[in-house]
Amino acid sequence: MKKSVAAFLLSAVCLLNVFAVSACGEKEEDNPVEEKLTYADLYRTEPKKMQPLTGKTTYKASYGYTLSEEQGYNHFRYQYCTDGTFSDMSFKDGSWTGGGASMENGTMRAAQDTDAVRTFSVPVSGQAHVYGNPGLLSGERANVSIMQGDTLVAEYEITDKIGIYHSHTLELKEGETLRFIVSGDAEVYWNPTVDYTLAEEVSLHHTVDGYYGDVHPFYDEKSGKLYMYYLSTGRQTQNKVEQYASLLSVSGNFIQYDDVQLKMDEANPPEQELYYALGVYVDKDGRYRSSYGKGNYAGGSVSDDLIVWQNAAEPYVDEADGLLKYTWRAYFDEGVYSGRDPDICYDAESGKYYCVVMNYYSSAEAQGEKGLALYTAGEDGRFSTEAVRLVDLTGRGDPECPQLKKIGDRWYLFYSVYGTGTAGNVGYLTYRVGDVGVSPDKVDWSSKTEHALEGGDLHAAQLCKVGDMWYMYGWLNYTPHANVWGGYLNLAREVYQKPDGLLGTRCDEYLSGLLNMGRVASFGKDNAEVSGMNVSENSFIVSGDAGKATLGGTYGRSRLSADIELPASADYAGFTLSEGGTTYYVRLERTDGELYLSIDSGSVGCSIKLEDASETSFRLEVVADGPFIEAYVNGEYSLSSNTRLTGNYTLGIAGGGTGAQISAAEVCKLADYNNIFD
Amino acid sequence: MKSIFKKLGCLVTSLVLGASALVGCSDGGSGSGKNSDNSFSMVATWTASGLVNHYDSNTSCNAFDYFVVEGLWRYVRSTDEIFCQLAAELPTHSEAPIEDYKEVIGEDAYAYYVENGATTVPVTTGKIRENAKWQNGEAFTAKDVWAYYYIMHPTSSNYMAAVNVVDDLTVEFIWNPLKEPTDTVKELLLAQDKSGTVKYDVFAAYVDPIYEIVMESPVNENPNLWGAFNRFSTEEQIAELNITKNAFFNYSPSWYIATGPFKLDTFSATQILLTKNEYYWNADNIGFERVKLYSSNDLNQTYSLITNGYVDYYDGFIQKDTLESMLASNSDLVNLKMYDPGAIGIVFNLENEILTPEVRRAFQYIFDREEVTLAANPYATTSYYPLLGMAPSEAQTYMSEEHFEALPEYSHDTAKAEELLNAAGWKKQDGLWYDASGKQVRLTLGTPSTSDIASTAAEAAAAQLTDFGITVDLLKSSNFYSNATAENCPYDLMLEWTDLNMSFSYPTGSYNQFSSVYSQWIHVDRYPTDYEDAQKAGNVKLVFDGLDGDEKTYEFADYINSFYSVDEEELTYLVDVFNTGLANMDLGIQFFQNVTASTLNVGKISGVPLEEYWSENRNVTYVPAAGTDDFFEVARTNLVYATNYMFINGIYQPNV
Repeated sequence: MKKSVAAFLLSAVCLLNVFAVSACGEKEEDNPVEEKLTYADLYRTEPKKMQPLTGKTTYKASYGYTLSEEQGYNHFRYQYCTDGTFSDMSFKDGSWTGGGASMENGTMRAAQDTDAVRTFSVPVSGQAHVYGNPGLLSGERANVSIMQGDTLVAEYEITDKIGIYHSHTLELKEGETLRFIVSGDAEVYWNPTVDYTLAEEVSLHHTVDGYYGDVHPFYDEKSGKLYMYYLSTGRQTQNKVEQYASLLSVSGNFIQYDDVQLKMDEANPPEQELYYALGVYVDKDGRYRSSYGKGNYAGGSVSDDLIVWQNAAEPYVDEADGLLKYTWRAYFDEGVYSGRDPDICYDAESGKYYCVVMNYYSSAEAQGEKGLALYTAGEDGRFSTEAVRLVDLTGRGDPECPQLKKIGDRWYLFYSVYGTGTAGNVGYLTYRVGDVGVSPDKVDWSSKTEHALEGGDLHAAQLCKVGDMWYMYGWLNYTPHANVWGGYLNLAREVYQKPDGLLGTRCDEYLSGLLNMGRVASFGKDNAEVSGMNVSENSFIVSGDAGKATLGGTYGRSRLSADIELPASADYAGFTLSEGGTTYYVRLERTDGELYLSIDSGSVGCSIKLEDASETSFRLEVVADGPFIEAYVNGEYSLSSNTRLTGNYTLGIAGGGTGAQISAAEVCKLADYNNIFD
Repeated sequence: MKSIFKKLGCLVTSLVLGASALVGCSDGGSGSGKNSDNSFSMVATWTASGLVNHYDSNTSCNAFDYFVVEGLWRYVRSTDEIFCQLAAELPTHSEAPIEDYKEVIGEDAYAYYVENGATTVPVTTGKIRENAKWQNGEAFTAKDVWAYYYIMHPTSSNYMAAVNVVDDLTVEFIWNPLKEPTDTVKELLLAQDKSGTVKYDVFAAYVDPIYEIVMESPVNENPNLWGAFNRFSTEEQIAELNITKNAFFNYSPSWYIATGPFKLDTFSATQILLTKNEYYWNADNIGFERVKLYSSNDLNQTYSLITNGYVDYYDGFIQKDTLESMLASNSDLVNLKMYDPGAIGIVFNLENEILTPEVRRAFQYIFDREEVTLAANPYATTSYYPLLGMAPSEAQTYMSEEHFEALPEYSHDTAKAEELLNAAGWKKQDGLWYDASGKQVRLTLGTPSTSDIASTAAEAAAAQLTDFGITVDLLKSSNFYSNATAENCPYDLMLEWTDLNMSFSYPTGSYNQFSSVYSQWIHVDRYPTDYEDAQKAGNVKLVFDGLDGDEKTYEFADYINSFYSVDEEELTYLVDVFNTGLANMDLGIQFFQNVTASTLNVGKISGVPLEEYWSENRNVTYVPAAGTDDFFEVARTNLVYATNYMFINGIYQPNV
């Protein structure tokens, strides 16, 4: 690697007993009022006008109306129907109108006697997958129907915004019409797809070539993008990258990611090529910084754009002892043999930088005395070598990927204990709760209870601040139930502070809405094969030791939900997903006086303990995305798993123990990676 | 064979007292004294968790070799000049009746040697300086030397029968009469040893029991095996020895046990401070009061420290454009160059089955080696050889003229490469190569990211392979060295040293480096470490054919340790056999014999040689030829080569 001329001249300016203090600007007296980030801000997509499409490709209604006011663009026409006659709408003042009905982008507004009709003029003959999710926006109910020419394909009544999911494979003839009709005094959102490619659904659980190694999410408020820094596993099939090298993927909508090449500044590269951009934080001047383990210290890198990284350390002579030292490096305390996994955050309130890191206190390293330690720096980036020992973890697995975060009025200490993951793998995320208003160096962390935020399949998760919200990401092992390193990202998982100071996790409501592509089925006495349960309306109560109800047929990727009552006398209740002789349970389960959310096949699986075992009422929501299952309970607890399922499920509900009750269990279609924003 | 060694007499008195202000010319160093605190500073590396207070612990600092610890003598790497440190004069050699040393070598050993015809034993005598002291002011004596050899078992002890304390200032090395090295080799072996690191009265509790174990260990009667003092301990003895040895490693005295001109003062994670040893025998002629050692983990930071005057000396090659910008930024810096006894190139990972001998031969023709040299180190000498087992300069020195001339040299001939690959079953289609099984060839080229030369050369080599039609993944890594020897080594090709002598200029150094390092990267077949023949255990399985009608074969493991004892003629023949054999195997491709450098701040250091060159142009591109006076002068500026030569002889002084 060549070093350019500028390197030393640039560095030269910074040396010669220069104290690494940036120009001390006065704090802004008049801070502009910042709008709070909303969920919608996270999942935004930039509207783009689709180029004209022809032939056997994928057509969506949105390809016709996005940034276009052209009747018939990309083969979709805006029509209305009165007394069986279809006529074109006209465009005026931002809407297509005709006969009292109107259409604006995906919204279709029918009037009393006039249907709103989105008409697809079939451009080419062939088989196509026609699907969509009409949902009610306003009104009490709407009728939606699909006509191929003069033939009725399907007809539904929709009564809420969830609506229904329709899916048909049709033989289309060039020139004929495919009409999507809304009737009734209602407003419906409907953006149907006509897909000639018959594309397979794409999982929402994103991965990269070679899988994600340990991830370090960072939300950049300036750009509104989520930066997912991660370690290479070295398993790439295309462009090989050294194991543990720093890599990056970026998302503008918290769902879809693009690979972005990280770069080392040519003039002043980070001190090592391997990993140099991990956990990112913003310093007091708005520069992006990161840290990484260097054996006897935590090294530092800096960037102005999150892409090109430089060496952050600058030498200075400490007046106190005359020795050369470096800014933005936290050298470990006496008695520390080595350390790793540093994470730094800047606390604007105190003006301090906190570095939490694993320290080993003997040459036995992981097998000897060890724990988490805290090193502190002032705004000049000069870290003290005196550590505050936070927690001793001698005799346990290493507390990897630790973080210190201030959420609300408390500090929280996060880490993943190695060995607690699937098959003894990299651990799941745990945390301890600090005292209200107490700085992290003053909390007696050893006395705090360790709580879990996930189960064994989501490894080394980390939190990132998103406006006033927090989200966590980890990796799901790429082979089910196996001790492997690397895998898939979980879906965006919000973390929030509860009134008692404990943390809850959930799939936020906006994402929840995006994931839902409409109802497919509901459990009822007429459509489920039942045993061991009494059924009343949509409520199933276990009558004996165990009971189950199974829907006929098989289902693809789905979003499941149910209300569950699990009295103390009952053992478990939840969903079953079966395939090829294997059944996974996603359930609330009581064991040895404790209450768990678990995803298991009986012999393998993972679980998370609920704090209050006396709870009996639950809302269980499940995302079944091929082999990946994510379960959410009461918007408080979440669990992820990579299973041996593929996404062709036989779905059921099941319970054990008298009194276990499952109600309002329904199956909705799960959006996929490509259509979630339709 | 050319004369190999040159050495100068021991410098008893200093050459220069005080600083002499250097007058620099316009492009030369400014010459004005800028050393305000009589210090010398450089970048160093050390055990991060701290130092145990003796050199032979499991902790270390590389710069302590240059400033803190010593032996009786020291050799200068690449020139093999020997100078005195703790010794008052160069060693002397004699023969003595074996009976005189019966007690010292042990009766059992005495009986063995006599049975095998020995009537005399070779003896090398070392005289210690009268004013040689430990850094606590106590006298350094022959007993301390004795203690070092019996607890540390350096390589030299493999050729000894015993070490004898004659008196406080006289020590004798009694060599194994059946495996006697040449006198020159004896001196070089002794000049590697840091015999000023074990103070007997501090470590007696460890030295004495180990001495007893050694003397009770059975005498080795296998002429093909070598061990300390020709004794091989039993398993029980080894276990006992290891317990004591480990305790010795971990024992930390109250002060750092050493004799050198500077002593440990302050240790921190980022800096070590050494201060002048007031008891040093030549303290009056050492003008530096302190040595500052700075830690720096990356080259860029190191270069900044040099350019900004924090660091006064740096050992290592610096890329031309980087060097020139440093020199432009700091008019006190000069850069002197000297040959490295090593070649940079590519080695093959034989675990990749497509890298057959025929394919490896073809690869010799792919590269434009001159282009790689110009890119990576324009001052180096291009080599057209395959991996030889040693650098070309050493091959020329130690081989016969006939067989050196007969070594294969490969031109840049891509047509020839294609012809050979086709013959090996490879095919080129649409500009890309496919192996004999029809799979597109994609190779991973590994190189250490920490080596500027290697990583630059790797970029050039990767580009040439890509142009030739071989897809390459270039992986630069700070974990290169562990990756290269890993069981599932991720590299198909590795670019770094192919041949290197880390010891004095004798073939054994290069061959040992090949055996312990490069053969592991290449994944040459090895004997298991618990192989029944201890001589072969863990060593490479390589057999070479004899030359010139000699039908005998020569196994690497059988001969490697005998090199020191053979006469010149046999040495030449063995080197001919080894190098020819290795060359024919195409285990690697040499690109160039390396040139390294010393960068010095003449504004802070006076006494820097070759002033007639650096006063004209501070980037001295003149690389002195081996054997010349300039070759010796410039080698001494390299602290890795010469350790404390320039300091203890008062040549370097602070430029105040």
